[in-house]
Amino acid sequence: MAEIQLGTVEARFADIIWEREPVTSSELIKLAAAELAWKRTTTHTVLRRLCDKGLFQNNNGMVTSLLSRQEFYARHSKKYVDETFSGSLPAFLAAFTSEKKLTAEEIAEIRELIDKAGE
Amino acid sequence: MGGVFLKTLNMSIAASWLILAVILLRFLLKKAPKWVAVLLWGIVALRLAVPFSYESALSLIPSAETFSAHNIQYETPAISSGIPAVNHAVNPVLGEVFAPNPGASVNPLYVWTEIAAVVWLAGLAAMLLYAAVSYVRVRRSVAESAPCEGNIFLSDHVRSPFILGLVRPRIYLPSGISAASMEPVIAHEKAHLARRDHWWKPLGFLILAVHWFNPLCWAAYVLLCRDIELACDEKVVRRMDLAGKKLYSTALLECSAGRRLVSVCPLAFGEVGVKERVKHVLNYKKPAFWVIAAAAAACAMVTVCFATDPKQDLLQEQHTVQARITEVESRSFLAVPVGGDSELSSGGLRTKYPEYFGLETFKGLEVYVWQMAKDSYRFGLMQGTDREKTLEELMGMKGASAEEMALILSSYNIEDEDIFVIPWQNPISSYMVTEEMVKDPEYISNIRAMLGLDGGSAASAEETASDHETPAETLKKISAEETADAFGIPIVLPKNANWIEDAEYDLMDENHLRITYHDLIADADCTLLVLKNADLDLPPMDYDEALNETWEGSTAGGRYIAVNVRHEKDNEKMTLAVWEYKEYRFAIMGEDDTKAAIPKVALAVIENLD
Repeated sequence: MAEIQLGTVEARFADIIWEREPVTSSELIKLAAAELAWKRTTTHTVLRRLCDKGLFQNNNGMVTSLLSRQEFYARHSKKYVDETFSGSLPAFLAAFTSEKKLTAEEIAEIRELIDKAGE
Repeated sequence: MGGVFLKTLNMSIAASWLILAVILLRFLLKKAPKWVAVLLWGIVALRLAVPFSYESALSLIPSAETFSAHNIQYETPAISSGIPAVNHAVNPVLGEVFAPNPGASVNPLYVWTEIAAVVWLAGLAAMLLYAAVSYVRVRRSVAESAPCEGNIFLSDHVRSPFILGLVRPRIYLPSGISAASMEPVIAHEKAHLARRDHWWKPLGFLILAVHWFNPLCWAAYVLLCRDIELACDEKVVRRMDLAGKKLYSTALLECSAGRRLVSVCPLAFGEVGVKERVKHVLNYKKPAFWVIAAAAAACAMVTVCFATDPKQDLLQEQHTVQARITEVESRSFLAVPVGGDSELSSGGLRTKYPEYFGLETFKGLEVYVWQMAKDSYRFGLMQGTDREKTLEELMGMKGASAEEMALILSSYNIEDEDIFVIPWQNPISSYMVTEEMVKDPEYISNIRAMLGLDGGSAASAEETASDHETPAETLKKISAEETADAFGIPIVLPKNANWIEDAEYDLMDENHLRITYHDLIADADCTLLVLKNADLDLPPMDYDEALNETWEGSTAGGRYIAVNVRHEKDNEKMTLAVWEYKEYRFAIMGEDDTKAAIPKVALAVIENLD
């Protein structure tokens, strides 16, 4: 099975399902609205994504897990999903940004700056 | 629309000087707290956004109005940048390239201004659309977030912390943020909220959207964003000891993707390099009192010198007279000469209307006003006499605009009440001013207002109007058959065609014949005017040069005659056809949306001339 990665927010949503399963999707919408302040569409989107990842299944509105919480965390550590909204900037504006990652040398240089401060 | 664009352009140019001053000052005030720089950008924003300004003798701005709408619309195109070298270099070129075409009567630069205005609006729309799209995208990407505490939310889909929302702003943090970074990052974002940066930055973007064509405004926006970040850092570390500053700097380094303040749109450019911010944080010391005092003084100085407009009389370097036109109610214009030299000696008016200057005033001045269309007034000037003016005299008058006439009148030392405004039905105009309109006291008082003249009681206006009977009442009706005897040539409208109705022949005097008829094809009342041994004074209208055409006519005797046909701009319907035959000048004018009915009548008339 391919490795399943969850972001922190996805993990909190997954926790809700694990705690209450089996749970109907309409109940899930109410729970997510209460705990995460999500809209119905957001819940649907994330639920579908987690189902696609093979973590849960949704049978006619009844959501159950394919992988228990223990099983999942035994295999996967919580990982930060490096999905960003980069790309929302058109190329012409991106040219102005300092989006480029710092190089190792630059980081070392700044680290030294911080360490030496006040000496 | 061109007017709004010119206003914006002039504001942008005037503000550019302020931006340059702020950039320089920002450099000089490196030691000063960064909020001073942000404050200076606030002054820039005011200057860019507020359409009026105080005048100050200390103003160092060369010109508050580089492109005068008046110059561009009516006169030889010229700019007044306030820098003589620039004016001298630019104006001759402008004059040559955009010289007003006497036939066209509309200054070509005016057309270009309208085009530029459309481009400007398109750019503005693009900027706003970009902001809206960005906002929606970010909104969508953070829909899937988990509340952390208060207004702080975690999201899997953002890489750096930011603030979203104007009314109830929320702080979004990347969910993968390390526990150590959390506190300083939240402190930074909360400082942004406390400083209301989530308002200032979108406001800055909005102003930038209006002034998108000005590169200095882009520079100002980029620098504003940097200064906001630095000022925010300062606010956070102000009360921190060295250890705290080190922690904060480390957090900055950890989020090396940089934290950006996203308020309306993820405009990340202008972000300061981490290194610069770390240095700034570590070196931050509470600024000494004298530094703040000096900074405040510098701000005040910049405000007085660059945020104000120069006093108008300093502008008189060009020695031209400009009219400042203030729009008053009901689209009429009140023209007031700008102070200073009103001698007009070098102004274009003396060359344009020499006969309107130096008139005797002991019997007052008579201003004749006629209308070419509903809101198009023309003015002529004659010295007051006891007798009635002849039609020839009246027809010889050049039509000046209201603001030109106001300036001409201001060259006379005369009481307003001795200036008589007399409505006149110009036979060339197809716009009929009726007796009732003329007798309405408001008609005269509106026109007096246009000229900047005091009241002139309704009674005296009426008296004047009846004193000078409109020439329309001296007409002698004749028939088409009589034209050859009475006027020397037969003038016959197309006979065997049924599209001409209600033709009336009015012989105004032996040299002036006016024929009015209704053209069924154009569905319009048209006027054919024939002058003998006299020149036509064609009405100054906005003709579309591109539509100018020549129709070829020939008389029954085989004499070739060219008919010059002009059409009014902007899909207005007015069409004018003029031609000459021996010592006669012909003009037909009327609203012809077919653009062909009037020229066809002209050809028919020509055919019957011999």
